[in-house]
Amino acid sequence: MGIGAQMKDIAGGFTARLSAKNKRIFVGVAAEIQRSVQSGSEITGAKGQPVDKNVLRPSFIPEFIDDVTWQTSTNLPYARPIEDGVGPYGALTLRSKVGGFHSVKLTKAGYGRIVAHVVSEDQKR
Amino acid sequence: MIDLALVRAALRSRAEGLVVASTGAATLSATATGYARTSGSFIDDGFVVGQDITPTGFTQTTVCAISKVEASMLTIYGGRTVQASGSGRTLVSGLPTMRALVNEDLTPSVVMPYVVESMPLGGSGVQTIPGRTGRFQQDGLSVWTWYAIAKTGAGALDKGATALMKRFAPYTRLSLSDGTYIDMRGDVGPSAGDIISEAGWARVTVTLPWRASSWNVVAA
Repeated sequence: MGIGAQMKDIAGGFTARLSAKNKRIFVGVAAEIQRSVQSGSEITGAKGQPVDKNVLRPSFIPEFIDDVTWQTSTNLPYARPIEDGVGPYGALTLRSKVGGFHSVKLTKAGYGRIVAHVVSEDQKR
Repeated sequence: MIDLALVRAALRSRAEGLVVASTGAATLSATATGYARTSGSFIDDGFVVGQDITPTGFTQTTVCAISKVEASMLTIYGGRTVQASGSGRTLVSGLPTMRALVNEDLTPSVVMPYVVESMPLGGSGVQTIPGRTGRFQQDGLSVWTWYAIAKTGAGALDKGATALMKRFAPYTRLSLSDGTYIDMRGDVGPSAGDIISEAGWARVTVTLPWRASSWNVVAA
């Protein structure tokens, strides 16, 4: 095998490993975002969704749109007031013993911390 | 470690200093329906329907809300005691003076805008080595939900939210009295949600992400 072919093999192997690593990190970040929004995260500080009859928390549906796009969403009308901690008459009172307000915002603000955490964990493999 | 009381006070103080519209020192009169001027323009000064205004230099300085804006006339909910034109007077609209601050009661008036404050904390951690004396970062959000009087349009909310985001522009630094500081974040900037109309109010939530830095101190 010539030097050119060897280099091609090395480059191909590197690309495959890089691609696999990117996928692991992408999936790992998506999983951490989902956890942060739904159940809370020590990484982002989000408390997750409050629980009464356990409808809101599982209503956040994760979905891989394509190779580089992922989203989580809910169609419950009261998700927004819970997120903002306010309703039509002002501030809401949190009655659930778990969860809290602002979990989506805190997750978004903590995105960098999530990525750093997932990359760090991946490096330990 | 971050002193949360100082952080909250600094963020609140910055928000309370907001100016959305102002006449500056001007020659103004109070009329039975509001305020009038013979030079300058209330429209050009940035006033819109639904804003509350704080008058200074008048006998009656009660805060009121605008129901109609014309270049030389501001009509308000409730009206004013008539007072002849005088110089050096101001009308200022800023953060609504009715404020539901954290763990404080507020009974809203249907003819006054108001805001609800919250300050959720985000992630935190030591960022430098050695960790025992390293730099400690705390993320958080300053969240203000601005309520507008029903059926006054989007102007007051749009202008208020925009002014609030500008006042907390990315990389604005607020120094705290203990030598630590807060930076408004640039990697995730200020944002405003869409306007929600519900039950006689319209509201918009403004999110202002911040990051506070201090030094980690391990107790003996």
